[in-house]
Amino acid sequence: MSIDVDIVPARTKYAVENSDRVGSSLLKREANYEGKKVELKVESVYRDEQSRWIVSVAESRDKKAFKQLFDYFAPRIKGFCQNNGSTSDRADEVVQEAFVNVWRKAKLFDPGKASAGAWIFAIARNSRIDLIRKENRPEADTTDPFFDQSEPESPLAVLETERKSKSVRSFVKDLPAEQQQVLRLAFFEEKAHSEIAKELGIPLGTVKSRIRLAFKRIRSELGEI
Amino acid sequence: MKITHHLSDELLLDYSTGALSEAWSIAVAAHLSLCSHSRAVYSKLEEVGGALLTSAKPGVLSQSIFENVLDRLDDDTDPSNVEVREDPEWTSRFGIPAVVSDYLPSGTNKLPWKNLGLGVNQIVLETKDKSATARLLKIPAGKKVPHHSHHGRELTVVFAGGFTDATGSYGPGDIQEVSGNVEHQPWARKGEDCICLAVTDAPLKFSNIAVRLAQPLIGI
Repeated sequence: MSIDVDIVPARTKYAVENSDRVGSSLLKREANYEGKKVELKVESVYRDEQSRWIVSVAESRDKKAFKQLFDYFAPRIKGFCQNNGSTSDRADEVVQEAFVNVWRKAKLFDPGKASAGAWIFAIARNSRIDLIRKENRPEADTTDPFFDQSEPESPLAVLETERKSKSVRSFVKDLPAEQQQVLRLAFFEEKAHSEIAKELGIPLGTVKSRIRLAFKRIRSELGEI
Repeated sequence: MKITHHLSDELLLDYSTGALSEAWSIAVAAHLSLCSHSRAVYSKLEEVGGALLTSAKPGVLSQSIFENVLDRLDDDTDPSNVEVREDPEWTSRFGIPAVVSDYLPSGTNKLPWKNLGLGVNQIVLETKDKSATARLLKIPAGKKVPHHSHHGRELTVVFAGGFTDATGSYGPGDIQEVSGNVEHQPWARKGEDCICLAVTDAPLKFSNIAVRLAQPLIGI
């Protein structure tokens, strides 16, 4: 059963009170909080099972959930790395490193900030940089006193993220083939723009304009065109 | 903080995919720390990466990879131990974000500035990046940096004070991207020393012969 959050004000209150709580333990607590009706709503919030797996790993060091996460993402990370020219052995190493990091960093996963896929993508990318390029990956630190917190913290952040990640998925699918191709080369093969131009046999300016067009859509998705 | 100069799409994409090397990435991450606007676009790009990963053609894993991972987990320390950050005093003084101060010596309240002459000081950050160099610069309030040009790209992120050149005026959080053979002469704002991070992939070329001769000595 799924209820559209935008037209159910009761859920707003509910999500506000629990906006800093994530995951399976939340389901029960919330069910007791307002009764069965709420449980149904909450379940619809967490219908993304990959996010649930990460949260279980974080909260209860759940190895079964960890295995499920592994079975789903590990072969994809491997495919992703091999696209990038890594040998099978190297790609296996990246997969291992990535999952050790998934275990270590699961507590930092925030379903209100990123989807499971985006979070795992970032971990895999950083593991690859660490292992293959042997460089550090500098990232903005959210605990930094100088971290700009001015973005409005939405009480419905989890739902909002889920909506966004869904719209990104369909956005990527709906992009014109040529823009999609450029994004794929950039993400999968970690190719700089000049290399993409060479590989596709098109001028650098064309690569740039395709990227610009893709970004225009990303920005309009964010509502700031 | 009013940030008016944001990252270019090209840089943000290369940072998101991981194509950007370490020194440049420090500048991008520093800007992202200070600018929620750019960060919103960045998180969207990570979602694009996630969507592409989820739809990737699965590869075939070698045997016992999962067991290898499990073996390594037992050695791990308890992840619930959250590290407590102890910032030296200078961090708060200069508005330097953590992603940059992590590269600076810890446990000291005195930064190891090296004098470049003309009142300008620098600290070269130690990275594993062989293709580009990141340095923290301190330019005295109201001073001009000698005229110089670049062969490659230069990225500058301001943490304190600010500077102005022919392309505009830059304050805390702003990022400036200069590429190609651009000649410029940044001028630090009055009132406060300008603290910024500058990343370059090629040595700077100073127009002034005296400064140029001194370059190998002062290390820029």
